[in-house]
Amino acid sequence: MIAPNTTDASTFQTLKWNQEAINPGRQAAYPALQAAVAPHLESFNAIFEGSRDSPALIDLALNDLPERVVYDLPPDSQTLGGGSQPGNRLSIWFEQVTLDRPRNFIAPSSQVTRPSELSFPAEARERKVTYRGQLNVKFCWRVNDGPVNSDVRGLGSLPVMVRSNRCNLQNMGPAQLTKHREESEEAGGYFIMNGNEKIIRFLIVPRSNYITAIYRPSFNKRGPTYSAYGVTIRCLRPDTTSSTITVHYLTDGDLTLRLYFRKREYLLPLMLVMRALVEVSDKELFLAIVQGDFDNTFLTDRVELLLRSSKRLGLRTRLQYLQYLGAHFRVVLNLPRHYTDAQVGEELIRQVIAVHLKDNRDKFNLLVAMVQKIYGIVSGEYAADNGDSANNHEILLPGHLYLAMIKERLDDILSGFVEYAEMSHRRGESVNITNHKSIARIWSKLSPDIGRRISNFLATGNLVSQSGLDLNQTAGFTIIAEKLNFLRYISHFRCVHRGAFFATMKTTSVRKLLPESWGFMCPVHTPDGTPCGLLTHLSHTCRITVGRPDTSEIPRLLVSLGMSQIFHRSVANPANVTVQLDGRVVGYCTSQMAAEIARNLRHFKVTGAHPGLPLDMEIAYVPLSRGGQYPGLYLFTGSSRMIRPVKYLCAPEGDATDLIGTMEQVYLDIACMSEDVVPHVTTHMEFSPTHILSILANMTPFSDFNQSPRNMYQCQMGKQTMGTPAQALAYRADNKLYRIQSGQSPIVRAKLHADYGFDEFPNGTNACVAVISYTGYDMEDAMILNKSAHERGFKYGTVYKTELIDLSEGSRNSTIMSRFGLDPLNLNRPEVTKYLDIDGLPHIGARLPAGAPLYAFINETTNRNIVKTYKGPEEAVVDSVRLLGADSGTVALQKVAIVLRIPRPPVIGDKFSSRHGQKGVCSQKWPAIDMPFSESGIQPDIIINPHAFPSRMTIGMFVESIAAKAGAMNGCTQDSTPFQFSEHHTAADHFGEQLVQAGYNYHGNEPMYSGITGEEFQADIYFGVVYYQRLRHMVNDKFQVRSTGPINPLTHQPVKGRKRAGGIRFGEMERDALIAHGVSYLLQDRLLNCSDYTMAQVCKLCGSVISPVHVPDMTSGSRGAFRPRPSVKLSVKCQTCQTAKGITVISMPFVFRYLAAELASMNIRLTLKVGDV
Amino acid sequence: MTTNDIHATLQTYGVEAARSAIINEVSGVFAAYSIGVDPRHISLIADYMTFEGGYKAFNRKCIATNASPLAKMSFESTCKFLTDATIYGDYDVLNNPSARLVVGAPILAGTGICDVLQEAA
Repeated sequence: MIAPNTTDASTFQTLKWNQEAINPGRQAAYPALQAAVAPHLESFNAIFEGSRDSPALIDLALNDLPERVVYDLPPDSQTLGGGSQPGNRLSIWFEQVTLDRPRNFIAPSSQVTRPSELSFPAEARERKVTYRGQLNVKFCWRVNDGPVNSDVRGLGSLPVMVRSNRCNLQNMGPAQLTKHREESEEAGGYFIMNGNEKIIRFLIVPRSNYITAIYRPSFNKRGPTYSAYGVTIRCLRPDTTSSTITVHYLTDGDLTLRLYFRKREYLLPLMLVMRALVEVSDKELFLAIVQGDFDNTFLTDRVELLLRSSKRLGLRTRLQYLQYLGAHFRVVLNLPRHYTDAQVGEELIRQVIAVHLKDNRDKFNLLVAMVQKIYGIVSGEYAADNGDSANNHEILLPGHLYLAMIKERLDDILSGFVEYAEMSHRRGESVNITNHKSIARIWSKLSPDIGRRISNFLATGNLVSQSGLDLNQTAGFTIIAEKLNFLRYISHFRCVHRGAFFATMKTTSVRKLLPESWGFMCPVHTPDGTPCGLLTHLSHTCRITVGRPDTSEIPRLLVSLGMSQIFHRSVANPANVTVQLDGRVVGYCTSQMAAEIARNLRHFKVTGAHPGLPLDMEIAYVPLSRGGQYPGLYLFTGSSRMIRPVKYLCAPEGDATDLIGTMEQVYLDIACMSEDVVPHVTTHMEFSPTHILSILANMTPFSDFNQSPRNMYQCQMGKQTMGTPAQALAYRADNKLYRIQSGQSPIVRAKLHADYGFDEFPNGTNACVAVISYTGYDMEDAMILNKSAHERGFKYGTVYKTELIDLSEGSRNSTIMSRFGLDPLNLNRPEVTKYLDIDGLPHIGARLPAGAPLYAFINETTNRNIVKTYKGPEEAVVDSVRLLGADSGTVALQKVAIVLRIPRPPVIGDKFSSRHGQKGVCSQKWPAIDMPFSESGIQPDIIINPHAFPSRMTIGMFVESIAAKAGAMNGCTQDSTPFQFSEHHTAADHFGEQLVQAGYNYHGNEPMYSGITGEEFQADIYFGVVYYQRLRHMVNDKFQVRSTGPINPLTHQPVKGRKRAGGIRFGEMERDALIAHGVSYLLQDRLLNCSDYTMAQVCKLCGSVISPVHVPDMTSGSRGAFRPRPSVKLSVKCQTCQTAKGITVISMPFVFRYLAAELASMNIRLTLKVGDV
Repeated sequence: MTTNDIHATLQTYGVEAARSAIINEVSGVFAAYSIGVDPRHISLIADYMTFEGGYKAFNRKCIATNASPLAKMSFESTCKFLTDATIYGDYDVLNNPSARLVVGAPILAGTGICDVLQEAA
């Protein structure tokens, strides 16, 4: 929960900011900001460092890797599946993967690092390199059963998350951070790839360790007798990698199990797997599934069928089943060849089936629960789960994905080792595995550079994986954290994507806002258009769990509360529901008992009465229902779950905070406001109704007064605002940065504004806004800017562009071809030296018009001095020049970053908006003498048209206007947190009274005088203060004009695109308009004369446009040389008719000739009937 | 007595009745949302749908009855109409706007409706 703002919210706290800027503290000033990024950091931290309860994830992952064995003799010399083993056996495995802190002078990947100085993120950003540390591993091996040998090996350098426990900024406070050229409140959570800040974004994945029932008609297509019903479970290994298994219901009553291994899917009879798990008799299976409900003939009939079908294979014992499985999966699993079939079968079960459970009996119980659930769904007793609703979701965390990739690479190295030996066998070479040297030799043949692979993943977002990592997308995992402004930046860390697969779906059901996501996903903050509803944002109090607490005490507690453990199937009660703890069936009890247990557990965990219960444990009690969700008591303690704080009302000593998850929320009675509390029913209450909103949506003032889509638009436009991207601007080398010079703290702001420290990064200006139709230049969302306000610096902006120049680019080897500098010839040219210094680099502060020299270098081989120019088109100022060294620090200067500053004062055509989704384009900078003025002589900075309001219903903007007006008069801020006012206490009254006290009209309007005539207007004008944003869409980046210019070589039509000086498409609808208007010749001018007009020769005899060809005139001139005579007609001849008689010239579009040629290539003749003119 | 069954109207009362039924139905849709549409737009639509004596839809299926292969191709499903035109050796007399635009001629409407006839000097 966000700590309430203890300081006085109604002041701007200018002195406090000032103090903190001069003397940065040791502790982060905005814990809320750090908390917003926490899931990124915590999940990364968990990879290499464990907690008291759980070891580091990387160690768990290493334990989970299958055994890899190398043999020194080829396979045919050994007996398969055990028996005698001639030759030696080398087992290889990894221990202790360590990631060093980023350092400079990183040694080649094959060696271990040597100690050197620490490197900090700011350096990586400025040098446009990757912030990474050396990854090492202890490679262990033993020959046969001999002693264990080990070697520490380098695995390349791995990108390190900024401010993680492997980052050099870890645990630094504002004072130290600023010393290291960071923002004082740098929260980290991203990687630096080639100078860009990259985030692995949150991805929605199915809730792990919960059996989800799905009804999906496309299942019918899987094969004959397949039905649309299935149950699936995404099982999470202790190291957070996952494996999904699905049970399909067949229309003949049978069940098959679908599993994935290395992107391939396999369908097995479920009974085969269940019998391979434990030694189980038919009777026991029957009792386990039917659970005493012998009268349910639907169930008993199907179980009977199931048992009958399992007899088809003719297998009896568990060993036989295991051997059967193993024999079929031996090739797929690629395990050591001395494994017996049974061992292979065991390994398949370990690697793929219910991987969150260790014990085979637990796995068996889980499959039983899956069978029960699927029959419950098929019979219609219960409904299938909704895969689109938040209660069946969790978040794939960046650190977990990162770990999964490292884990897979580690396994790839080991299997690569085995593969190499096998290849040698096939080539008939001998493989020596007994001495250290030859093992090192094999290692040198491998490509163990994990760092490079993962760098590639972060830079491109493309997942290259053998197994697919149990995800159904391969691209789009990473995004650049753009520092356009701070709102946009922080939103990157809170955004959640539904998955690339869903973006291609035509149905809209996945995009819907479902009530289950209440409080977890912001209902407002989603873009409109293609990603709508797929790219959502976490509400500002939503957190994501990281780490696995110790749950070993929980089953005992459950038993003491009345749950019965599974001891013998014959005493089962049909009324019992399962109790599952993180996907493990721990016991059974009646539904009433489950409700009681859930109540007690919740009480214990909130009050802390039982230390073994973590507060973020999810206690989802699903009650019995008719056709509802499948009942049971589901407990979750694992990571990646969305949780949020709500007030727990039943605690003995007043209110306590409970953390609730998405699944339990549906079945809890949570009041929104205190008046919603129903005695003896309500157990929880929201801390504040604004907790459902994202950070950004909370920043919209009085959003409860606006029409809802307007708040969505504001969430978009807030992220496109030119604001203050960073404070450490001097140490940033982003390709493009937008900055506004006249940023102000908004007078009207939500309480959270201060909690997140948005005053550090102002995003706009408090502007005097008059709502009046004046001059006509404010039509259709245009707005008039006061010219004098503009001249005083209102909304003055700057764009910083970084030009990265690398002289070594394109050269193959490391020899230096060119060096920066000016030769004596150029040194004598004032037009060059005006801009460039002797080092070939521009002077700081030089104003560069388009075409001015930007830098110069001397080519070593040709000895020529090449001066490169600034492409423009706008005049830019050289802000800074950075000389960038290479990693080793010993190479001559080849890389330079020049930061250019382009001034962008507001001009006509630039876009502005208030914080209410009211955008407009500046149409005029109106002279102050002609602007209207009020009684007190105040003139508006901005004039907007009253027509902007009736249809858009942004009442919040009116409220902001009067609130800020009163605030400006009283010198205080105004709280704009939504849901503060009611019918009895209206905003209009609240601020109206303040206005009256300040000497203004109660309603916020006031008499105004025309700036042109000096007369008072007939009506009073609504005049107040509104916080305005300047959006980054500027006409200077957009305007496009062309008279003539480049054409497409194929069609001869004008090309498109602003960058290529192309034209703007005159399309179908424009064509229709001109036809309807009857302007035939204008239409012809647009589509023919100004486009691809051509004079084409046509043969009247055959009607072809392509057969007339130029033929060399052999009758005159020098022999052999092609020299067309001046008269075209005579030298052109129809190829088909072999005569020039019918040739005539007509005008037509060039594409028509092209079309004729294309058709001819398909053997289609196009003829024109040409009459005489 | 009205019905929104255009086909029944056509069968029972003939094409003019079908045309006015279309006008009524289309304007009824707009009226439900209080959107004012000039009746000429709707009558143009109704004319197009009924001018062949029956009634036809307003899409690429029914444009197939159009006499101009170039107009059909420039509407939708270019390849299908091109294939058909090729198979049947179709020709275009270049009367309608779409076809004339293809060859770069001014359309025979509005200012292009008249021509200057003059003896060649």
